[in-house]
Amino acid sequence: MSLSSSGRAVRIHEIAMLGAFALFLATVEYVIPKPVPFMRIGLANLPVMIGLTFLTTREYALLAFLKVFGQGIIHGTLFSYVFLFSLGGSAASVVMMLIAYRLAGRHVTFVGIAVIGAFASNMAQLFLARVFLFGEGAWLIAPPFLITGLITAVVLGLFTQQFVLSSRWLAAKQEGVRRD
Amino acid sequence: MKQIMKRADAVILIAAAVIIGVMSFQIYRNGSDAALVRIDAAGRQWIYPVDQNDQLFIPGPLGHTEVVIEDGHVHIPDSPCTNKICVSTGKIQRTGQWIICLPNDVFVRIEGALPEDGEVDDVAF
Amino acid sequence: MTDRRNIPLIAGLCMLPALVFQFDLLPLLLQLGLLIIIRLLQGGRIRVKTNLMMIVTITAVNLLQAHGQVLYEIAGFEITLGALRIGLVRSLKLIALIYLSQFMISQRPAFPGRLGNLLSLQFSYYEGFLNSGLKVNPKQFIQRLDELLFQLEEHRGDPGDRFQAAGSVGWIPAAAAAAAFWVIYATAPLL
Repeated sequence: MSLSSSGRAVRIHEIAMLGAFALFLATVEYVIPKPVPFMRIGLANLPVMIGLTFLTTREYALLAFLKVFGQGIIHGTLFSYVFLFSLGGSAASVVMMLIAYRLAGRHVTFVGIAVIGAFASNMAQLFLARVFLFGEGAWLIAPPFLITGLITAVVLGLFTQQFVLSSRWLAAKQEGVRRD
Repeated sequence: MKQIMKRADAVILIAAAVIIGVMSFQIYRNGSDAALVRIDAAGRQWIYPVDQNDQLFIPGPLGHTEVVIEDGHVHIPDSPCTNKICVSTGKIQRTGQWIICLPNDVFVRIEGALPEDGEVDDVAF
Repeated sequence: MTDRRNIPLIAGLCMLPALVFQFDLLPLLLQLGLLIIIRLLQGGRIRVKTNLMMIVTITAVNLLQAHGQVLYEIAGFEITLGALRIGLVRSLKLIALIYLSQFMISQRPAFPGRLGNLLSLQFSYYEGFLNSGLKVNPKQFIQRLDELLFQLEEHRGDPGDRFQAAGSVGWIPAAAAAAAFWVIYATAPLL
């Protein structure tokens, strides 16, 4: 797939927009009250999953970069090890979701993709939490952490699937890719 | 990608649930098995994990008894007592084993993480 | 790198190791105190409740791994001095790191290169999302989101940086803060 230079500029804007959307959802998630501290819904993964449907691997990696660094800058955690958690979790989930989508995209919906992504992200974060925050006790909080992660992933996956099926904006993007 | 969920999604979901289930079982079963070193001395108590190396100086009426935790073993290399029975006891490593330094009132024992294991109370002084 | 906007970034990078390698409670508290003062001077807010929650949760999990002198026993659960200290150090260090990090990017330092430009473009769209007033409302959310995406695409944000930065920092106070940080670190054994 080759893009003209104007097409490439458009694509850069689309990546930036999805990245901004991820930041916006991260901000929304920041504000939502949660029953358990450290519980995450992972709303910011919605644009990342949308990106799977029409971005190349390189563009997808750029989007992942924007999601992680943008959040680090907006929330001011770029130079703390909160950023390591974000980076580790996102890297694990982004890679696993990309592999799952490319290998089994025909047979699986975003519910499955989201579950795989959440599982990878949570395992990576538990490992980091053991090193930096909780010590051996991290394994004791693993089960509730993983179970809530599974539930929120299913909900987010259902929503993403709904969005991918009904969004006209995304349909226009995918049409654009096919034309190129 | 037309449907909301497909069979493969169910497979992934069940696989994730099973992995989490097995992990939880392992964690909550083995989590309580980690052995601890419990030290009583002159009315105070200390706890340390057996699997972390440490060098401790436990205060007793005669002075400080040195307790070393090393590679899963515990021993007393030195104590300010005259008979040095505690030093000659050597290394202990299994749950239920203990070293005592009567003159300096220091009692070191290895136990499971669960306090209700019971064998501790059966030790006769 | 002589840009004034990068002063907190450079000062913060100098301070970072003195915080990361701080394992003693008292000097850590002093460093955290200094960071809180800096934050307040810059007009930032301190979220007491969020911080307390972090301290309590992280410390509680650390207490599960008994270590050191037994302080209290509550319903068969023993609270040990060593575990308490480790938990407090870990949680307070996390909070201190977050404040230091926020100080470092308080002036929105310009990140160089094409990735830096991409970040700026992202922030201009982010502002578009914030100003859109999009509510997370399940009713017709997807449809409204769709409209917003089309709309933002039409008004392509110009890649500018319109964030309001916190109070600016000069070289001298920044250097003084960094020096104070290392003095606390170096005198830790004496405390």
